[in-house]
Amino acid sequence: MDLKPEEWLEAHGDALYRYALVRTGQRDVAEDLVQETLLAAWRGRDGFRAASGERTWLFGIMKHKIDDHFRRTARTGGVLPAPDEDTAVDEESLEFGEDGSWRTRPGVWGGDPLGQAEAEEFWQELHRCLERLPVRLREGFVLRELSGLESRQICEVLEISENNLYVLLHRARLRVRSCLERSWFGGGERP
Amino acid sequence: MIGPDCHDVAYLLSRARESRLTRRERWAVRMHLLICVYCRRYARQLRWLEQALARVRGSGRTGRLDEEARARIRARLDTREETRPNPPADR
Repeated sequence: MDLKPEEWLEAHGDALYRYALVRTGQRDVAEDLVQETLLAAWRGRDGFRAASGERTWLFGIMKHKIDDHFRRTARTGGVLPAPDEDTAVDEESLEFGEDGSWRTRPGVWGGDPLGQAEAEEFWQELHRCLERLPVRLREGFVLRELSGLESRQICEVLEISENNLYVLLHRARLRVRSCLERSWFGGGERP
Repeated sequence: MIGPDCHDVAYLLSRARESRLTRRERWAVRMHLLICVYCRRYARQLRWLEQALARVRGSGRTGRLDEEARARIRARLDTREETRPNPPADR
């Protein structure tokens, strides 16, 4: 497979940017990270292996760039993202009782939910919900839903098994759903 | 799998988006959805979320590099040859 660096920005720029934006929360930082990633890819192009695919390879580089960014900000007195609590807290027990039934039952989403998704406010609300996710869940969810990677590609970028990814996406979707229901659809039913 | 609960079904609904469920799993989900209004809502909301996110991905407003940033990055990439730090020794 031939690399086409001149097409990287057009083909993958937005997807890389969304990933960086949701991870860092800062537009200018995310833009710089896209630039750094594409430059690093160019410099390291001899190390590209066709087996992983161009997009997966670029996201792998971006992931390292984001990690570097957080290490740098920590050194200069910045705040590191909160450590992943998804190993400490059983996410799913927040959503389901011991008998496997819903703790907060999905409510009715009124109006035209899809029409509302067009609104700028929806994106902002979604963003807030994503920021509340533990890093690991956020990362998987964003790569899947906003950057549009296939699950196989995400497993390579995050170096996890497919079963791990399924659980991670399941937990992220549960949390995003209930967050949007609370903040955007104003509801949810308690048993 | 006999009689999955809501917890199992929610997981399978999510996993179905990533990989094909077995015939038995699909059957179990379908049976559960017949009797459980909350899981039916969840299934609908997952579909909705998927479509909404596809719109966010495709929308020109948010979550995309703006033209200024794009131009800046393109300009930087155009000068990339000069930035290569260690040219391979054999070239």
